[in-house]
Amino acid sequence: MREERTRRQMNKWIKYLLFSAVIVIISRIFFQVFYRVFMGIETSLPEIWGNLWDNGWYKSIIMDGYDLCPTKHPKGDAANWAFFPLDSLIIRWVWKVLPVSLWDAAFLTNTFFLILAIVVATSYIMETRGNREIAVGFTVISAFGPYTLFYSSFYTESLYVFLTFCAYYCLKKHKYIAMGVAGALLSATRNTGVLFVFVILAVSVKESWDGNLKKFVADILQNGKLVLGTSLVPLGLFSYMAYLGNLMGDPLAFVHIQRAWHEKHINPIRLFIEYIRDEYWGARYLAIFVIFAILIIIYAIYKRHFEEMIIPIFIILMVITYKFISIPRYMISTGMFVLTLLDLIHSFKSRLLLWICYFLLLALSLRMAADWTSVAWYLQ
Amino acid sequence: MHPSVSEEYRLYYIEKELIDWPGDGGLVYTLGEELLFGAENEQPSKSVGSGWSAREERGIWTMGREAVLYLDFSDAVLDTQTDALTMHMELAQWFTESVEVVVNGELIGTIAPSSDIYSYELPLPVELVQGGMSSIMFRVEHSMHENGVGVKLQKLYITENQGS
Repeated sequence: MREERTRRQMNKWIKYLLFSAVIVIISRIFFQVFYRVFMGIETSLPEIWGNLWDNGWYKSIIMDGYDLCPTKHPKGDAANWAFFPLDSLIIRWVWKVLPVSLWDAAFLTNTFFLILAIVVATSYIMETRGNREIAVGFTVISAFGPYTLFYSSFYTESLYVFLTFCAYYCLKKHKYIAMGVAGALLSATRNTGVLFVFVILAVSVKESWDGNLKKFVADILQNGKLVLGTSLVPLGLFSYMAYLGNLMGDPLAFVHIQRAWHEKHINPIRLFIEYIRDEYWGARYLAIFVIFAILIIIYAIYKRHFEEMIIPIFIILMVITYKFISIPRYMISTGMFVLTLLDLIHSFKSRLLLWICYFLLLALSLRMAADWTSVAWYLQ
Repeated sequence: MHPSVSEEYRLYYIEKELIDWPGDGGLVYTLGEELLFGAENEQPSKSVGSGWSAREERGIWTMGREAVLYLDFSDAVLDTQTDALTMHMELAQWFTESVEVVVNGELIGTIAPSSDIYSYELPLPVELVQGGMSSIMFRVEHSMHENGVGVKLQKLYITENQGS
């Protein structure tokens, strides 16, 4: 009986893996053809997507390691410490092992993580929503949708989405040690990964809170695996801090180096007005996206998926007073943002409206893929 | 958790006191070195801390009641044979109130407004700057906002006392 269940479980995972792999491979061929046929660009997809904005920072980590002192940017005050190491370490390993270029190594590694991310996300969606259409939608949007180009470049997006869904899935299944391992890897991938501890807290409250704080705390503390799993989450962050402390003397260099990017806080309302009045469509898009992101968060909370919005809420609060650039990418890479968007569009009664939404997302994706080649700053 | 970093790193990244990143060791001062503050200068000094305006042609203005420069005297003090230094400053002529110059919390002198002098000298006791990284504060009673005008610093340099 148990063997039968395990076999069925395995078959299910293999089915998800094959489906996501096929869709992702088709999408990459599609984008390569799009660039060649419609834009006349002969360069390979890994080089097109791996050659702009933060790609350079990740490349510097892979090729030369972390900087000893800040020398980059016109002011000479930037260093690559802001970029967490796990994804770059894996790409470096793949680059050393396989006879491929650095760009191909990044493309293969992160596209592989995208496929894995879709597999785990599908399982999570089936577990929490039981909705196959949303699972398929997630696969299609991840492979073809806006910001998909980041999933196959040097950026950490695909690994981050993969580990996020792993951590959420394990938490949902009460596999706390596995959750802790995924969380530790998550906090070694990006600075926001450590925020998963708040997700654990939120889920614990959702599952066990009955109005008695003393009992709640006692119940949590008695769950040894949950305590251990939670305490594993910051391990990736702490390891990176220890490394930085040893390398250049400041364990918090990844925070302090942000000065090279953000000069000062700005009132987000003023920032919104500035962006919305800008003549460049990319600026207006960013302003509209921020409003849209807030609405999506509100929708998720309304649908009682608050725990899925914790990291997006933190990201919005942390970034919105500095800049709007990068907010869309950060939100997409939480995985849960796309999932909530799909919850929303699949709640429409009209199939026509649903298809229009998918069509618009694909159109936006193509626009972004084209804009990427003209160094559009809104895609940073 | 205490970072083991240079004073320049601490002032720029952690305390966010400096306007520009001078680089590790970039604030080390050599006696006689002229520090220029105008935007037109090829290499304007990166010792500018809080309380100053953005660089303008030929100098920077005090904006608040206190405006600070940072210099590392560890090398300068090591080499000098004297126990007193002189701080030379070139300020724009039209400031209207006295300016107190405070080094590492100690008042070293007051500059009175004058219509014709724009170069000033103040004695700087060596023991004040023996600790290495030092702050040089220009203190006025009214900020630029209150007074309508600040003090414009164009050039600063420090020498050994003549005859010592």
